[in-house]
Amino acid sequence: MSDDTILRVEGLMTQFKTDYGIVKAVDGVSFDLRRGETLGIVGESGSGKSVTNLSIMRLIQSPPGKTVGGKVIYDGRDLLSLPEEEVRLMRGKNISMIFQDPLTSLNPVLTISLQITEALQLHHHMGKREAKAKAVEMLKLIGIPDAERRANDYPHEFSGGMRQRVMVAIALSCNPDILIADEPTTALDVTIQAQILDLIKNLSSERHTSVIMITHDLGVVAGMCESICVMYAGKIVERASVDDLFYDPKHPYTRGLLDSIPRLDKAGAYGDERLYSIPGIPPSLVNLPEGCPFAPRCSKAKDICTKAYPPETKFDGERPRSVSCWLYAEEK
Amino acid sequence: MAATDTLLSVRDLKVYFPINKGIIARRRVGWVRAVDGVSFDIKRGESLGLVGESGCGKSTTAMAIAQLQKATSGQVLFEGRDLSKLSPAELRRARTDFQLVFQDPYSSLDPRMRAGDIIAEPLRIYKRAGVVDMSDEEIVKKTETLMERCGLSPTFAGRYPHEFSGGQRQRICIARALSLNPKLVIADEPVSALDVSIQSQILNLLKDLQKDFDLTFLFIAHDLAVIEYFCTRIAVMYLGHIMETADSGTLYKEPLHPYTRALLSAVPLPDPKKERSRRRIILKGDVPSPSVERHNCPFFERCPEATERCGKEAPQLRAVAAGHEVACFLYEGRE
Amino acid sequence: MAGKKLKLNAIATTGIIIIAFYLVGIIVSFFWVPFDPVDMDTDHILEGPSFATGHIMGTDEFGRDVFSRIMAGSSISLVISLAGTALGGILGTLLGIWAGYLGGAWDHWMMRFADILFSFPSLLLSIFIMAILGEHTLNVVIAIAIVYIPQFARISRGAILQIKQEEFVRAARSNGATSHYILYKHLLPNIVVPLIVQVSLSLSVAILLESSLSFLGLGVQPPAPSWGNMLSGARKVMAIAPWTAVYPGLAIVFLVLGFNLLGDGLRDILDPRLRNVG
Repeated sequence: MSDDTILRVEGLMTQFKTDYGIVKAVDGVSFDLRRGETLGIVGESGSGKSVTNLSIMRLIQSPPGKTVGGKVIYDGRDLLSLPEEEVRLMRGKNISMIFQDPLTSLNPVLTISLQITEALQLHHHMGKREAKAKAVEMLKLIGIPDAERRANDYPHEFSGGMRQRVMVAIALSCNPDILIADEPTTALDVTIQAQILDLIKNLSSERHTSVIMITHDLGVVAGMCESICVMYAGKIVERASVDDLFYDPKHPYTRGLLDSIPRLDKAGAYGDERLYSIPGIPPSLVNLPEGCPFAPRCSKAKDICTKAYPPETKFDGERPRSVSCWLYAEEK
Repeated sequence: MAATDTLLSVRDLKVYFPINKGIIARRRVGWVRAVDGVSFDIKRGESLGLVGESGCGKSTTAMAIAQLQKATSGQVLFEGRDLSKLSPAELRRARTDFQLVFQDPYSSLDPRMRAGDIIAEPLRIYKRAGVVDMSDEEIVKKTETLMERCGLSPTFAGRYPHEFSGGQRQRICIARALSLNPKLVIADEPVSALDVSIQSQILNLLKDLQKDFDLTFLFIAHDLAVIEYFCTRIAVMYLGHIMETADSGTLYKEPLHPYTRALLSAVPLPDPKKERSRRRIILKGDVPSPSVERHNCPFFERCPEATERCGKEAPQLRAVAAGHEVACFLYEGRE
Repeated sequence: MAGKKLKLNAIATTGIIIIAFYLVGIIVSFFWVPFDPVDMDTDHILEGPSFATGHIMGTDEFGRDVFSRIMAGSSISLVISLAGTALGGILGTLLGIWAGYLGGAWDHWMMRFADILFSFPSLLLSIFIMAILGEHTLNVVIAIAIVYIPQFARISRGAILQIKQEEFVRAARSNGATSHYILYKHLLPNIVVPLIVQVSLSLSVAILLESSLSFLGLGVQPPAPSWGNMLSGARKVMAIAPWTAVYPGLAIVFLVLGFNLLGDGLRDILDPRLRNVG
């Protein structure tokens, strides 16, 4: 583990018991996060990206879910094997999260000021007055006009964009090592999204916070992240630096995704051309077949693809790069 | 341009929602101006995109055009006839010419009906009303043809909506919309609720169907990339007004209205080098409330290029080039 | 509704078993009862339960066999409760779905009417109605129906309001459907679930209502047996002949329990399944 690595996830496995069988939502996920790095986890619904995030922080509701394997090493310790109480103390302080819906993440009956100061008082043992002053300072920092007065407003008096900015502020107020942002801008308009992503970028680079950005939007990761993991059916199928991923994608799923999104910069040049589309539909996570889960939809699938899951093939380079695909692995 | 070329003509459409206060005796205290004077034409064979962020009024406009939402004032002329002036029976008959595809594939299908029945329903309704003259077998046959055309196996006709994936449900919705052979398809955010890899399937399908069935589209979305891909012309909406209208390539290459520019600059591109080098226009603040009565430019508060005049008067939508209209004082005198 | 796996849970199953038990008893009672329920046998009044005499639940103050009267009474009680609930359910649902669908002033006034009915405690309301209509078995049905109109109106209105906004309603309108069509073909089938639950729970209260009215002498008139009027007659002799009260009482309790369990169980099965759709 290099000095630079702040979080290492190894072989994470989380499953859910449902009426239809066991859903392997996260099936052997491993990645490293360096200090100050912004890592993107990209996938569609059912890929397991959100469950990965929740598993790291041990927020999986059990029953019906359970993290059944793997390690999450932070600060030299495995979060999955620590007592619940210790992990709880880390949430918000060492590792912070923001979620998609800012309305439900904030308590509707407490003022914004109280919610920010609560975090500060809890983790930094600040006095009430000091915390209140810091809260107003935070609101100014995130661009809320008339911060002094608005600190005493309630969440519903803020717009969606402002609430999400408050969430970012709360999340970063305690200077965590890691910020996990789970689809933070999916529910927001694109101009507000630009504001929020800008804010996250600036604040996190100022404080050297590592960020894990979970999203389905490839445009967002292109602008925000240095490294990216692409997930499909509970597994990471490709991992690369952002440039490598976009300009030299190796996994057929990654290629398919990139080819199938309408490109704004190609506006007016499409003519009668059709978008590429990946045939078929994402697999059901119950009773996944043997082999690579993408094989049924893959234009390059070989015989072995339906028989065994491909091992990870690593590539040399400045940044860690790997892909799980039989096109690159040696069949033995 | 011959008048018959224009399929749909919207003139100064306004949709205001009353704000009522009080529990016992409700009194009107104001209006939410969801659509505040929108005008545009759609020619036969065109795809017009209405794009804007939440609250801009694009969906309300679509619903008002489709006569599913009562307009407060204005005209919706379909092939020259004002839809709001038709009697209920005449309107029902006219509906066969314009059909909708809805956003949410989970709620736009009756969970208690089988797929085949959902698709056949419009035909059956109009058969009972005497407008459609098909036998029951013919209707079933047509349903099967439509399903195949939309990428669904006819063997699935007996299944219920919850047995299909989101993309498949949307296909059912599209097949239903086509059953009456409409001239105009109003698609309200048809791919927004779908996964990325399914979006392209549905967009391709719609494009194919447009060609085969000679359809005209009114396409509503908030995703500019999708709109640019699908539509031939685009109208940008903000706070109930149209800010700019242009051909799709032109809108991207030469955006005139400051809001259009900000919108375009905010869209993240899946291209890291471009992302790193672009300069974003970050708008300050949030969208103002649509319940405030205003006689100035709706974008005044957030416009990086606002002048004093913008705060006092409202600019009109004017053509500055062939097919390119903009509502902004910056371009006054360029007509 | 093909393809719905009705995995009955334990609660609903217990309820069904109990109700089935009564249904069997009712069907049998049409063909055979141990003794004539109205036949007075003054030689054997207030005899305790005994297998020897054949009066397994004893006799009442007129020498009538308690068990036979319970069996006979069950069909009357159940029929009245079912009819009353059904009538009230239909009227109330009609009121509720139109109020919910039309909205505005219609909704306002229809619901105010329902509220007026609702504001009376059900027993008092039914007594009031019986006082107006007169003490006749059929009138008990009407009384129960009127009591239930507001319940069903509320529930169906609430359910309509929930799904009125669903896009398939708009889709139907855009496909040329009339309001009538939408209500009966689209909305009503989709609100069946909460209504079924309500029916089951209402039946249990209806039985209590009927029993209470009969107990007060306002419902089924003696000598026709009803659990309620059996209890009424047993009041005087309860101290020395407890079986005259205990058995009719238990009969009421268990049937009410059965419907309650069925209603609760159904609610658990049907609602989450509906939410899981999609």
